Amino acid sequence: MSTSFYRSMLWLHRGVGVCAAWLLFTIFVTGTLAYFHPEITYWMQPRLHAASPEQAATSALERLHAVAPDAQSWGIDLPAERYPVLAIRWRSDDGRSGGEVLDATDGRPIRLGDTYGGSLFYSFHFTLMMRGWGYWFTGAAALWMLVAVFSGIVAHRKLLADFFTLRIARSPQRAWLDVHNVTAVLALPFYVMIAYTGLVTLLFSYMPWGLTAAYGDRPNHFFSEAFTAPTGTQAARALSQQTTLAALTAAPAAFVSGSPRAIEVVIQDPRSVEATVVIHRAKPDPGGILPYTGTANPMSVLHDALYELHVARFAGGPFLRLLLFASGIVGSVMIAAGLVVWAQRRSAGRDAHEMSIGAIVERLNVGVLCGLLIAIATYFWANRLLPAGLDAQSQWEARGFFAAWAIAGCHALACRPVTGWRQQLWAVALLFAGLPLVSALTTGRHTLGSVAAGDGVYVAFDLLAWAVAISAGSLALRLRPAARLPVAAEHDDGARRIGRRREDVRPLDAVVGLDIVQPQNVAARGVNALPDRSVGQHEVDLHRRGRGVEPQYAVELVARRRAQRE
Amino acid sequence: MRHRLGVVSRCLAASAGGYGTAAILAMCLSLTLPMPRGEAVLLASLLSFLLYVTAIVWVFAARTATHAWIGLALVAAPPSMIVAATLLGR
Repeated sequence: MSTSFYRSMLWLHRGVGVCAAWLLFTIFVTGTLAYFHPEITYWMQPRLHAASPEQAATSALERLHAVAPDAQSWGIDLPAERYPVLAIRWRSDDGRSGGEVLDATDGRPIRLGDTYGGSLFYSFHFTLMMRGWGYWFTGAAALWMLVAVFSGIVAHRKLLADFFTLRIARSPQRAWLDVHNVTAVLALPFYVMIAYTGLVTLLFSYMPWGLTAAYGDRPNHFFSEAFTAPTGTQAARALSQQTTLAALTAAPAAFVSGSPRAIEVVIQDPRSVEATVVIHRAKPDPGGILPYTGTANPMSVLHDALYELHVARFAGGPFLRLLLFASGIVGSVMIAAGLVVWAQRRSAGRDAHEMSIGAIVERLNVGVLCGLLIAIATYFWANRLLPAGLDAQSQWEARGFFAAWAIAGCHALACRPVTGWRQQLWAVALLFAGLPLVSALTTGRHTLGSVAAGDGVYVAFDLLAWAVAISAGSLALRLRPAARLPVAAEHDDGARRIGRRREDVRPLDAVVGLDIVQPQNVAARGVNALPDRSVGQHEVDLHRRGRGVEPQYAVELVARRRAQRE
Repeated sequence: MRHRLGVVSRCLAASAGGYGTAAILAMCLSLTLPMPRGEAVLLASLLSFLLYVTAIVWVFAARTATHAWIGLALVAAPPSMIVAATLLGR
């Protein structure tokens, strides 16, 4: 590969990366949460309790006997697996009807809280809350992601060797680059898949021209031609079973438990014990991965498969979904680390009070990256703390989310970057550490109780919140406000030794390079072993690795090189 | 200054030029791929994003911004003619 191609791809990677990274980070984090949006909604409706289908059916029947004994028909919507709402409805002879949502564990009627739940993240993920044109930004971000991945692979010539290089203890700058590299390689196929399939979800909004060329002003013909109805077996249709009310009441487990999941029970004329009961079940789910049941047209199969990959519809069980969730987190870390490296490189060696592009990006990094986490925590806190019976609670929760983000952004712009990082990371740590506690205090559902009740969503929520808190806290502890001072002093010292002004010599430790130069090459061929333009990047590694190259020698290397050019 | 103009020109070539090239190729493939019309449109549209990414990479890898524009124009010209001929011939 030619050096100029490598260089232009490195330039492209940095340029596209820094332009798209805030947007991509936001899309990644909210998209990762959206994998579990029904579970988040469940958590944000603390009056809901998960229960087994037979328990739910028993509760529902008891409540129906109490509230509508003379009804002509009853209906029970059994709790879904991921969003367990138990609902009953009835219709009397004169046509009047009613319904209630019940606590599945004891059959008491409950009022569902007014919340957007996980759907806030789900819709923000691709609309950015800008109705009508937000999707153009997310589409551009997905495209930039593909460009950044490709140019990043090309730019990173020593992909495999560096994958095994993680030097967290050595230097903070180098450590962030290593984090960026390792996380980039770790989930590489996921990034390509998620960015490309993201574009496919809105295929004809982004690229309608082929459709326009072939179908003119009759796009509906295309949709009926290309996506014909399934003609295969009808095995995937919902199943139903018939029994009597007496039999169902006596042994609900025999009728509503088991797989595929029972979703609805309809009872005709419940006044008689011999009333007819029909139990509808969900589509059969053989194992973890749902079979593809679409059309036979290969291109629409391809299209639907790509679409379903993006929304993880194929992930039947929680484990595949968790793997995707983990990939999303790794991707968010990758984007954040890349941004940090870029800003550190740009603001390296400058006075912290001087406002350069790098310094502004560094400050906004704090506001966007930490700010989003603060906003998410605030959203959950608002859900637990807003007074019951508040009008339009969902609106206030969403306002809390955006207000917290805006405040974090202003705070980040006003602070020196290191201070901003430390304070906001502590804010993230405290907010997430307190989340399980405030939830336990306001709902009475604490972690141990959730473990005992087998409520996986609540347990996972508490553990994840604490994991985020610990990560943010340990990062905050690692940050040293005075980290730049010795570097600057060393820089001055090095410049003085070779009789130059500090401005004429690139700072020693503040530059982070993508290249690693073998010291033996430098020893054998001297300065000429280094590529011309990236001299500044190499002495960092030579110095950091400490293989016989003294710091002042490294500074001299740069200066001498410049002198030659002059 | 000249360098900056080159960068601006390349950014334009990548975003607008790349999109235009990908769009014209999608149109051409939709009209010419040897398969039922609906499938051709789907395949062409699915491929168009990969073509767009390739165009962007090419624009930034080209020696100068002018080269980048010329390259895009050369790639887009034949399919444009095919599309124009097909649509006008209807």
